Amino acid sequence: MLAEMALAALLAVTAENLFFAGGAGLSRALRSAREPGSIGVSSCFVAFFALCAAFAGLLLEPLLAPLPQARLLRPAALLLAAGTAYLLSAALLRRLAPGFFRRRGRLLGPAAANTAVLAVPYAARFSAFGAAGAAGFALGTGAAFWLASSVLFHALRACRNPDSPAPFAGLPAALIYIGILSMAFAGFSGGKVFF
Amino acid sequence: MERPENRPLLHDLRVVSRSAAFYRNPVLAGALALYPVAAAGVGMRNAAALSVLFVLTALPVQAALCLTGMLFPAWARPAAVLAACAVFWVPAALAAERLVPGSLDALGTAACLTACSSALYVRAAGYAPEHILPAALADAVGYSLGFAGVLFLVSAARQLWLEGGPWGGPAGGGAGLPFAGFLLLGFLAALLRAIRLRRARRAEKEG
Repeated sequence: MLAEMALAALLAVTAENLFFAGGAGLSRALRSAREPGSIGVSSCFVAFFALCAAFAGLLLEPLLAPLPQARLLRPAALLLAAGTAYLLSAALLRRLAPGFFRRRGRLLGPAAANTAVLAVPYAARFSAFGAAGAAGFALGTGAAFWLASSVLFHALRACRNPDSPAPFAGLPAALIYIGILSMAFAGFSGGKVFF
Repeated sequence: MERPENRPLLHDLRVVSRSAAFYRNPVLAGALALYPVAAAGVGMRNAAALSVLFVLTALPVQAALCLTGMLFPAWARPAAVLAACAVFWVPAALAAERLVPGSLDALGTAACLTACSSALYVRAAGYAPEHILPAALADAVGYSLGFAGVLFLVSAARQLWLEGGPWGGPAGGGAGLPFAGFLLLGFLAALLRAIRLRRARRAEKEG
């Protein structure tokens, strides 16, 4: 079980990296990279909500799969599950750690609504992961978010170099940087992560 | 016909829409909704289906959060946005499938993940609850058009690339992968930045 979990986590960080190889969740990673002090907390939140999404996917799949409109209802059900997970965790944090919630609570919503978080149950389904594999993949996605945000933090700093042409400074150069990194990850995955 | 007292409001709405579509383009200036463009922005059919899906989710979600957003405490609004996206994505997906048959199968997971696009979340949670309905709708129309415009440009360029370009050169097999989308987005973002810089310089000169 532990081996399956570790292997799935490794896949989520490397060959099946949802951020660079899949292209999902990079808007949030870019935002997180602009606040280096919050990268660690944001990554923990992403890992937590990815875990919730992975288990929601596993629990809902037997109910959704037999329905004729399953492909339409699956995203809606997963979004409702993400909303519920957000509401419960925010209410709990507000009650148990109000100081922490005041400082870091604004990071909770974007983590729950992260595209990469909603992608976790799909990736787990396509890879036919069991509970251990899905949990490993979710935790690996949290680590991949940390990796993406940390890499982009350094990239954004380099992309603001005053010697670069003015139209490319900042976001345009960062997008080209992401493109080149994504190309390298495409070499690992051999194409799209999932479809 | 426009009533004279509505003219300033209509002018403001046009400014909000134009700004959200072009100068504050959600994809090229805000780095939002990158995933659908990079992962699924290949070919005109995909672009049309994703645009329909995005517009038909964005408009009702923005309207719903504008009308009810202030009823929720600020910390609970993300859950309201996720619930609204869940509710309005289903009819939007049905409409996209009806207008572009077979599009949901062609888009695969990208269609599902558009339901929690960062552009929808940021505008619905941040902008909509604190603005009047016409402004919230004008903003939604503007950023949806901005998203669709970029999506069509990137999709057309990648389709052309996949087919070997206008002069029938060798086909670029990697054009359908996300990295090609990000590279194109980078160059389009630089183009938009250049236009904005030129506009700012001209405004400075004119005083």
